[in-house]
Amino acid sequence: MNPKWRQKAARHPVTKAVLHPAITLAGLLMLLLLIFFGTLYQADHGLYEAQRVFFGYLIWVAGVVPFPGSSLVLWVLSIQLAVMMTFVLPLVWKKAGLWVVHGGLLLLLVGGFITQMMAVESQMTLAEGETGHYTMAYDKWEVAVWRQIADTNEVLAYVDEDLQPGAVLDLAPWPARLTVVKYHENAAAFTSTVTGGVLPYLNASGIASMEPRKPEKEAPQNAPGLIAKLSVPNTPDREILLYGLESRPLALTLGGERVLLQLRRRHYPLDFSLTLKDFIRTLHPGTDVARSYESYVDLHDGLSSRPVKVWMNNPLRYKGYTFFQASFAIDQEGEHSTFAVVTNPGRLIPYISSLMVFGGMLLHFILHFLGYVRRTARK
Amino acid sequence: MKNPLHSLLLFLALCGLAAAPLRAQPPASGAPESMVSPDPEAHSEDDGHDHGSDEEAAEDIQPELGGEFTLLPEDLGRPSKGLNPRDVRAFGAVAVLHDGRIKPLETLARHLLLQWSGHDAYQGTPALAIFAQIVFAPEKTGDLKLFRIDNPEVAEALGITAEKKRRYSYRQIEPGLTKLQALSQRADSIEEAKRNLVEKEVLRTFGNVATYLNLTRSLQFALPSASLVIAVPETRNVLGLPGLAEGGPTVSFWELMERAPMMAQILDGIHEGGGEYSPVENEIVRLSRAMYLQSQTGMASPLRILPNPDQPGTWLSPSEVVATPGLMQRLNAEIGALAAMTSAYRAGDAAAFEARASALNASVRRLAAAEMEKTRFPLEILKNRVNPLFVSTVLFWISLFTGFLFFLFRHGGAASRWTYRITWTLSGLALFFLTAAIVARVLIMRRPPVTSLFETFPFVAAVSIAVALFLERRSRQGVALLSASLLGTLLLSIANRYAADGDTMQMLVAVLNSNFWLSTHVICITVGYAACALSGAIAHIRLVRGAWSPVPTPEQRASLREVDRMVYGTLCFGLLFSFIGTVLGGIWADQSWGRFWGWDPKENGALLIVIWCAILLHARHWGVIRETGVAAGAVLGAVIVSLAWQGVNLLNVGLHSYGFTSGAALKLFGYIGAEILFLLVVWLVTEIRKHKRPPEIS
Repeated sequence: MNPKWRQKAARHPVTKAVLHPAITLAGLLMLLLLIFFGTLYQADHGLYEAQRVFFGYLIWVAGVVPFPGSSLVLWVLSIQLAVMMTFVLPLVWKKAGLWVVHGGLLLLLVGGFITQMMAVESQMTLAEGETGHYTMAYDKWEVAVWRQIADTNEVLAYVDEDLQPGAVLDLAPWPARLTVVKYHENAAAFTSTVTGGVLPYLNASGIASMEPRKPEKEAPQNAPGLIAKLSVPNTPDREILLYGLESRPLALTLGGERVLLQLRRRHYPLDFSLTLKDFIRTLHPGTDVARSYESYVDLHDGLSSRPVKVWMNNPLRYKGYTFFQASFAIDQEGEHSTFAVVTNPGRLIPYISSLMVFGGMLLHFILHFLGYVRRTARK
Repeated sequence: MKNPLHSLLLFLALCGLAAAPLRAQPPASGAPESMVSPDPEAHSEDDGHDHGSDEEAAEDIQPELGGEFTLLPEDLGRPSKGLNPRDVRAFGAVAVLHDGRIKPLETLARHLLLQWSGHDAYQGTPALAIFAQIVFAPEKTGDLKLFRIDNPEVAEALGITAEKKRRYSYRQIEPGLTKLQALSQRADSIEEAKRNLVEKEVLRTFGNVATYLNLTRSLQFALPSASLVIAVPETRNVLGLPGLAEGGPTVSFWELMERAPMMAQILDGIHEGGGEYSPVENEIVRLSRAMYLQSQTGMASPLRILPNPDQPGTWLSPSEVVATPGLMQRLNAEIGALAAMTSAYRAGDAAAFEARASALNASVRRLAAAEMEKTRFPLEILKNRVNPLFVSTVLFWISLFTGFLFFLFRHGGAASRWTYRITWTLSGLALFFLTAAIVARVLIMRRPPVTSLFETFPFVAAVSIAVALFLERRSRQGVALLSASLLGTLLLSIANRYAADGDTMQMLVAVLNSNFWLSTHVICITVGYAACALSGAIAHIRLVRGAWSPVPTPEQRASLREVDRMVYGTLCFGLLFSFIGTVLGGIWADQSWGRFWGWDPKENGALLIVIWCAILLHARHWGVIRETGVAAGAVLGAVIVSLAWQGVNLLNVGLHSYGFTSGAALKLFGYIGAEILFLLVVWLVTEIRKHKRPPEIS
């Protein structure tokens, strides 16, 4: 049954050391503590910050004592699982349940890794009658540079990860480039009357100065700011200031053309579009407890178009994107509906893996439970 | 039957005309009606239709409190005989829209009284009878000690000497009402999470008193009114009202309304004739004016018992209907039935009361046929009367007692046999009532058994006890049986405390609304809680027994082994269901938000249980811990369950924080402390006893 090489490998001291029960138990116990304290931390500092702190490889407790972070613990447990399954777990029918359980667990961890690395979450807010061609990030930003030709925008964009001081953003095809002077993840901007209308920066909203701020509890609430040096041949260099909360883009004339610049939440273009036809909110009678939120949209792709209803627990899935009814706003401008948009190549893995774990456990426990029933019935 | 339907509108218009020249005069003195704005125009017609949320409504209907006035008349001029509690039963079957749900008035009466006083009956009188008295004979309810004020500081602030029972009557609170209103406005301006206990108590008390006052006025149109006094005997003759000696000086709005054509005729005559008014004419003009004012004072009351014929799905309180002539015309029969019920109640005529209540019921069922079809009133009323949850709690308490007796008499032959049988029967019966309570809720609300924090307690209790009784059938040691009683008393006592907050059958917010994944997720998670809780309960008994005989005889050892197997088995069961519950929660989240796992505190709590069970099972497998260790682990497992179940709600973040309750933190920490202390004591006792007795040679 059990091939020789497995038996040999299972007895190897390295295997034994890797699979030492103390490591597994300590790992699980650490995971328990990490989740417990992570949950408490989240209540005070927000989810983004909690994930940043607890999902690393090391946590410095009180700044001095190192404690393994979730990533480290999960890697160790994953390796143990893989080694255990490859070399040690006996290939017998009695252990079939355990095989499935642990295989499922390994797959679950792989799926979590894929989601962590590749899933993109964004949103799309539409007013009634509006058509959306792109989704927008929650907490990722970009410097967008574009010109308008008829109805369409030609956009050149630099993502926020590239905005390190000293980085050069080439604005080709226009004869100009930007050199990042400062980039603040979260900042407050001020106008000033002292300068008498002469601003130190080129800016669309009259911002005279900017100060860095501590990142917000919830990362999407951050408002970043950028100061960069604009170099255009044959003209003196000037500094420009872009701020995340500005509603107007900065207009420049480059090479005789009107070019617009804005620091905005990152846009993800779609190769199809959605038009919000109607948003409906229903309440339980006599209360303001919502019974349902529903968005009626038209989905356009190429020349075809079809009506779709998106409502609570019933998202629209299309071309790997999933649109969820997430939020709404009703103001004097009318009704707006917000969709949470997700793409995740690993979306189905948790379904498969948890089904495996569940099935395996069921198999294993049923075998044991039947034994218990048989034993006690004999009395 | 000739009904003054067509003349109603005309008549009210005439009343308005008659009132017009008099408007400048100060309103009649002392009468409660004079409290309201004397300018009828101040109440636009839309006011009557305004249905905000219940919170909004609660603010809408907060009466304007004026210090010198009494908001509750002591005497309506005509005494009420009242009816026996048994005779108002038909009133309990009247439908009312409250908290977004159509329910029998019986339920509303019970929950309001529970909310006000903490009991669902008042000194032996059922809630419905008290409710009927508040509505039909409010003048008699001022001295009932209906309002519980726990916080002595609040009582003192209102100028009330704190009493031992902490329950106070409206008359006791009334002198401090203005202050109470000011205090509650201040408390209301504070963010909910930041309010302290006193502020919460102030808000609760003011809300309760305001609801009470609104109820006392909800059938004002049918009650004799101090502003509708007929002093001239001839007026009574002209209008065909009973004499002063028979009736009393006051009449009700509706009594006059029924005589509207006659009054209209007289008013017409005045406007045509001009000149001096006769005493009768003078009185009619005065009455018309008072009626007009009264008809305009309709405020929203929690008594929304009339379906709005213009807007299906919304319901109106009688005072709102009376304030709007168009509605009064459309709902004339129903308003008339309510007025007749009022008269019958006050006259002590049980038969007439019942007949009119049934007529009202039939007519409402016709008006709102579609909505009424979804209700199950007979079942709901039966459930209210039997109160299966309470019965079950009592049975569990008794079974806990007999269960302990069994352990005392363990080796006592007949006594042992009988206490065992009694405990077994009581637990079985308690489980039956508990299941009945859950099934009744499922049927009434037409939704899965667990949708709110409250509902988790009866459900977890039912599942763990069913499993415990199953194990007991097999092992017959009494350990699982005693665990069942322990869990039953503990969990149901908590559930009963939640039930004191009012109607526990509330509507759900959109995201929690019926969804396959949600219901299966919640059920599996709670089954997981149940298994781990049971495992913990059995482990307690196991540890105590183990500590008692650290060096067991072979017989004891066999028995302990059996108990160990139960602890282990329930742990496995708990792991399985906690895991599948967690995964189903992930599927639900993925279906609803697009993320399988979002580190929501409640999800994390479930994951903690899964990981803890996994640690225990692996440690046992590798021999790191033995039987006692597994049992101690199961006790800690119950602690983790309590954190996941209750502790998470204290964090007040995330999607699942629907069940925040103050003061719970202290109890939770108390529980955790007690468990740790328990484990320490067990360990100490084991060690001491081990050293006292040298091991037997076997």
